[in-house]
Amino acid sequence: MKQNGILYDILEESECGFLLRMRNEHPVYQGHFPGNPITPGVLTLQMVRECLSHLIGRELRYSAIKNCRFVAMVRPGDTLRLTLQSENVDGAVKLKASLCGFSNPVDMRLQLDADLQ
Amino acid sequence: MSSPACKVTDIASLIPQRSPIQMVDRYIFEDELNCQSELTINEDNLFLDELGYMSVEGVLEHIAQTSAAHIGYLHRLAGKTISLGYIGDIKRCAVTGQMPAAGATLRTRVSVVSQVGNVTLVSAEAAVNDSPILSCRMKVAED
Amino acid sequence: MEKDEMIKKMVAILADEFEVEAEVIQPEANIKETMHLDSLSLVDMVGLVNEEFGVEIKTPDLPTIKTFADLYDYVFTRM
Repeated sequence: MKQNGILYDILEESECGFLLRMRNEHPVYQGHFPGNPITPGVLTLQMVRECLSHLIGRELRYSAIKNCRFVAMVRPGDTLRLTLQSENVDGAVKLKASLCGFSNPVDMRLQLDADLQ
Repeated sequence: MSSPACKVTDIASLIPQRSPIQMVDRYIFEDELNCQSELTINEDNLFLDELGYMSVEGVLEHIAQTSAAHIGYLHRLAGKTISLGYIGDIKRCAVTGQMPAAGATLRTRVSVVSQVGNVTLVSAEAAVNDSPILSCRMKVAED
Repeated sequence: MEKDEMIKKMVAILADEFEVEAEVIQPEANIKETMHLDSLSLVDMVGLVNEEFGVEIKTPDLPTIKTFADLYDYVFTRM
């Protein structure tokens, strides 16, 4: 999101994953929802895509989503562990990703099976 | 039920999302199971990339809010208040066309496939200038 | 459609959608446990039954549909 402020910070990164912290302030929280800030599910999907793009070194976009499950909410201030498993197949990147609370792998927030290009 | 093809432009009366993430301008009720919506994409839309095109995530949010508006409209007809809705899951999502740029109008058709308790499964297709750009299945859960 | 034929079709569809072996879908088995259904995937099952058999399972009826045999009876009597 170019002109709209930064949603999260990358605390650590490696080939198989990222440690992320959601910033407390972002314009989106004015509208989602007034007085009750919750990170929109689609922005967690965007965060996954941005981290994978960062890792691969080019801007990717989703071409197909087989299954994306929003298991639990993400809120400002949350620290999250993003796990990525990707492979290149015929020019597309096949991705399996999960996002969970950083200290507890059972605290699942998002599970994703998607293709990006 | 009210007369077919009832149009609502006061979207804030149907969904709790507000600027800068209100992603529906017009909601059109067809019947209990079907609706359409429109969004004219402004230059300052939250989901535009560096080249000025909307992201797939933006189209998915538009579909989610269209579904929420439909549920909100049915609640309003039943005399109930609107509630917060969340995306439960997205499946069978295929991007079939180019994402729209600022100035374009996104049109979406949503059909309810099934509903159990507070979870509604919809099938959706988004189009720009009558060309389909994305289809998916989505579950919306109400609080 | 005969009931046997309906059951065969149902087992094939459910096994495919919920990624379980067709053999585990036995008439007296519990639906939710066998296919690991939660509140979200239950809606998928209801949607599938509606699309494939034209039968709408009403939310208040769901608690009475515990086993696959219950599901077959419910769907067959309403087709």
